[in-house]
Amino acid sequence: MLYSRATVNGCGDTRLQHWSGTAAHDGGTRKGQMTNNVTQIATLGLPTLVVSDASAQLESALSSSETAFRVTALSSYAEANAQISASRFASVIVDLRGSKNEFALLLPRLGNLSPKPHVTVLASAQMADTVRAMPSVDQVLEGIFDTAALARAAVPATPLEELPEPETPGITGPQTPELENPDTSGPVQVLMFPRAFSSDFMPEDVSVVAMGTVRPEVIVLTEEGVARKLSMSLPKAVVKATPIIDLTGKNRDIADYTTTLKGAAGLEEAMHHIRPLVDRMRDLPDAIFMTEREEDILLARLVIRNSGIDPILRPDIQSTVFVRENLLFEDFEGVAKRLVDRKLLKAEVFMKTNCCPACDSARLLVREECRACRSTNINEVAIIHHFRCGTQAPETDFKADNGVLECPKCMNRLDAFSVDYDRPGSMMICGDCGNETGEAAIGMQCLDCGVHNDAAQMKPVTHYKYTLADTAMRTLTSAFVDSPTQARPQTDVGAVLRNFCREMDVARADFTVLLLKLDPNGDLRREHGERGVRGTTHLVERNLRETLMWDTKIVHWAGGLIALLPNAASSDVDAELPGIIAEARRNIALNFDPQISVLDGAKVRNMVRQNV
Amino acid sequence: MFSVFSEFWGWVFDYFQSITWPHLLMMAFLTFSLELPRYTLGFIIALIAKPWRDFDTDRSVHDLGKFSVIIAGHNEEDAIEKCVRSLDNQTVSGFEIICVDDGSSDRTFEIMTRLEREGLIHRAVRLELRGGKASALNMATRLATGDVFIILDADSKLEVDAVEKVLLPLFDPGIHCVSGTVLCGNPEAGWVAKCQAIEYAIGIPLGRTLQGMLDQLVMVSGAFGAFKREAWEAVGGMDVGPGEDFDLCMRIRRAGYGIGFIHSSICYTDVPDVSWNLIRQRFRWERDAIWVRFRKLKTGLNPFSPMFRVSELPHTIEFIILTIIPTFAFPLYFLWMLGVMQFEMIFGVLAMLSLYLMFNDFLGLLMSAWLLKRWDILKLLPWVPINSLFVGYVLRMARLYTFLDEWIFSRSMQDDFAPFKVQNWRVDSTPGKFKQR
Repeated sequence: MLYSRATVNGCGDTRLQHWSGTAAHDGGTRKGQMTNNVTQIATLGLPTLVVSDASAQLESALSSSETAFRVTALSSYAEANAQISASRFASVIVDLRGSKNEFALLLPRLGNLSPKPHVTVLASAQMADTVRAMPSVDQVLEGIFDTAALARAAVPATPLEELPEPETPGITGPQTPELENPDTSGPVQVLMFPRAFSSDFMPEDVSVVAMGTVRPEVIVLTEEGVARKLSMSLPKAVVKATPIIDLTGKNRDIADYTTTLKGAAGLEEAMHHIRPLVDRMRDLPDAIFMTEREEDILLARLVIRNSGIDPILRPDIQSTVFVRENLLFEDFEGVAKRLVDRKLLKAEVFMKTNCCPACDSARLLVREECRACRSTNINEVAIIHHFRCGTQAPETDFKADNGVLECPKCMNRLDAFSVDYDRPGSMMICGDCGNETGEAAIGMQCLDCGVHNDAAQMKPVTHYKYTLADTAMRTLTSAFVDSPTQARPQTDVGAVLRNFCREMDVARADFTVLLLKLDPNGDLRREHGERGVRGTTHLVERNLRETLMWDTKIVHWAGGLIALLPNAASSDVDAELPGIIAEARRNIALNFDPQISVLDGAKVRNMVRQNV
Repeated sequence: MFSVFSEFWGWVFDYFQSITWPHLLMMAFLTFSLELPRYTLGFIIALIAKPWRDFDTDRSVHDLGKFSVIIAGHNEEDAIEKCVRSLDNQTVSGFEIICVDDGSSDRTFEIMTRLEREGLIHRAVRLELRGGKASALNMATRLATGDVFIILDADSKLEVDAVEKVLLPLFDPGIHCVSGTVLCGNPEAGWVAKCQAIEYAIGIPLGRTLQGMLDQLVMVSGAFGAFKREAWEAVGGMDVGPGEDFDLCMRIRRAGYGIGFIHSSICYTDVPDVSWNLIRQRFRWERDAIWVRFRKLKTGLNPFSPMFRVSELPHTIEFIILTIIPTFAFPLYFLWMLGVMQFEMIFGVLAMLSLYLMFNDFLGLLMSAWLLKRWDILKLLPWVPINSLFVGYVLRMARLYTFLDEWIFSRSMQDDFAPFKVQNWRVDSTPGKFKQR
């Protein structure tokens, strides 16, 4: 296995350091396929992990279901801070946002996947040393790859001072995964993005916050086309739920209020309109803005705006039906459907449109055509029925040279309408090929891709409008108020245990670790949903804190709780455990059947050593 | 029960004991007046004299030129699709299908346009106002580009080789129109339909084979038949109906074109399944026969008219002798019997004649099954007695009523089978030169 350091071809960004595990892998094609995705992340200078499959023969097979499987698998391993996006070329890009823990946790999991994926580590020049220095990375790579080769290939990162200055310092700088919550009783916290305008005067009750410090209550866009950068710079719940003001007049698509007034005047005018949204936002629990669940984010967005989702007809976009949320949510319709299923949104059909089967555009030219030659040069001709002899033919057959109507069969003149003859219908005659037919064909030509299709071949699309259910606000707040841990980033259990072991080693103390999986069979989740599981976890945690010793540490993990008990023998814990659980059950209304593991210190140390 | 039968046969025996020559003559007349077994006997004679023509040829029907299937229908949403799809799996292909919706108020045209989109129909035209079947077919033939038209009712279904076979007789240069065999498509619909199934199975294959052999065929059913464009256009297509199919054939014959029949080209059509509907249908048919022969085309009966044709005399005389006279003679004879015979004797005579009718139909059905090589027709044998009585007495009375009604009141002028707007125009349209397209 060969390791090499190279700059990603096609990225055009020399700030990237690239470690690549290439096992007889022709990276050219794949790199080309991944270039777009890599470029998007690379330009932000974020440490990035690109995972793709090294097995060339699996490339085509992985394009659909396998990819979905892998994304799912990675999603369950990557922690909350990691942003995962799947390209359509069987590769997965995991944006780790600079988190060492996720990096360390994810890599061994990738090594366990079968067939083994091809792993490429990309990091910004600024982060290169940091990433390379991470002990966990080396440890992990040692288990998967030939680290000797990696060491041979590794060269120092490009010095920072040689690199050009980032174009948008506010974006490319280190990220702030967790923002401080704003003071809801104080002035409105406004984030000017990407840069603040210079003004001595600021509206009353407005305070400008810096990127990465306090969670903004209003985002003010001061430049055109910064939506993508914005989405990469803030937690997604903040970006998608926070009211946005556009002071450029060019970001109407995502802004809640757009003004062309410049500077503070524009901001003052906009704040006047946005203020009710801010007030509603302040009524919501802060935890909502840390959640990763798209349904909660969409619900929060709508509650803040106190409105449903009303599509707008816009001929300037391909679908012609514009829904702002479509820009903000990758799978907006899926998210909305799940909320509809939960009866938090009500869906009504807004419009059914027909789209081009080639490019999904709804901008179609509808026209009548000849069924035979597809010419639009067709003319409608009346049919005449001569009562006397039963002749029925196009009017052109009845026209004599002198202009009067004369029956082609019996040669009688047709004088009186409805006495001699009538016109029971009409037919179409093609001016090009002469084809005669009862009805013209309806053809459609796509104005975007130019493809011509029969009307029957069009792809029907249904657009919905959504209204907020009365219970939405209550559901949203109750889901978060009782569950402060919900939006907490998932803990790196390995790191927690390693640190705890280290502490105990230093203190030369024995310890016990208690692993509680609160809903091992999923019964609680099935009966009471996610909310029930979170509430129970929270209550069990409180109960444990009251029951166990003061120096016990309790941390959350994906399946439940971990209690770290210093100076406690596992036998003592075993003895006390039934009483503790019984006490917790008495205090908690919902029935739960936890799976409990008691691990003594030696076993935990062994696990940490083996990196299990 | 046994005593009743023995008493009955006693009467019959006594009757035959008392038969005299005058009685035998009366019997003969009665037989003649009731139903001369013209199809059965005629077919036997034809079989002995000359086998029927099966028009076998090695030539492809495409040598005849292009052919177009013409379908006109009014409110045929239940049937039109089946009819068109039965055309899709024929042994010949490459023909065009023209459909005309004659002012339907149901989904007929919607189905036609769908079939047109599917490529099963080549042209579909909708007439918002109903003009009658004749004008709808004229419209369809105007759109057709074929050299041969195959006329088909929308409620007809064809056997897979029907289109190919109905075209074969057209290789004979003397034949310009061809009638195929029309059989009942819904015999399961009840006893009325079964009776008609027997009637169609005997009358059409046997009767038309005989008529065709004698060159006296005057009918190509509107349900299924083929016409050369030349003959169709020479007479200007169909005139105002009803009875337009019979009228067209009569005019085609008068214009000097021949009509042929092929028994092996089989089409199934739905028949009335309620007795009153059947009787109304027969009222219409009988009226039309009288109206076309003796009113509309009466000039053809005048030996001094230029329209007179000697070749048209035999079938006219046959119609008078075998249809009109027996229809009027039977009730008169029955009344005479009431006056001179005792009730028991009348009953015995009618019973004997009924048995004779049944035997006649039984034999006809057997011969039809043999001719068509369709032995499933014999499933209808148990229904022969009912058919014989129904056709022999009930429909005969209906015919008598219709003839009187038509002769006295010209009731055909009020027939609602054609729309009101065309009813007053049922005249002999003198064909002009059909304008060239």
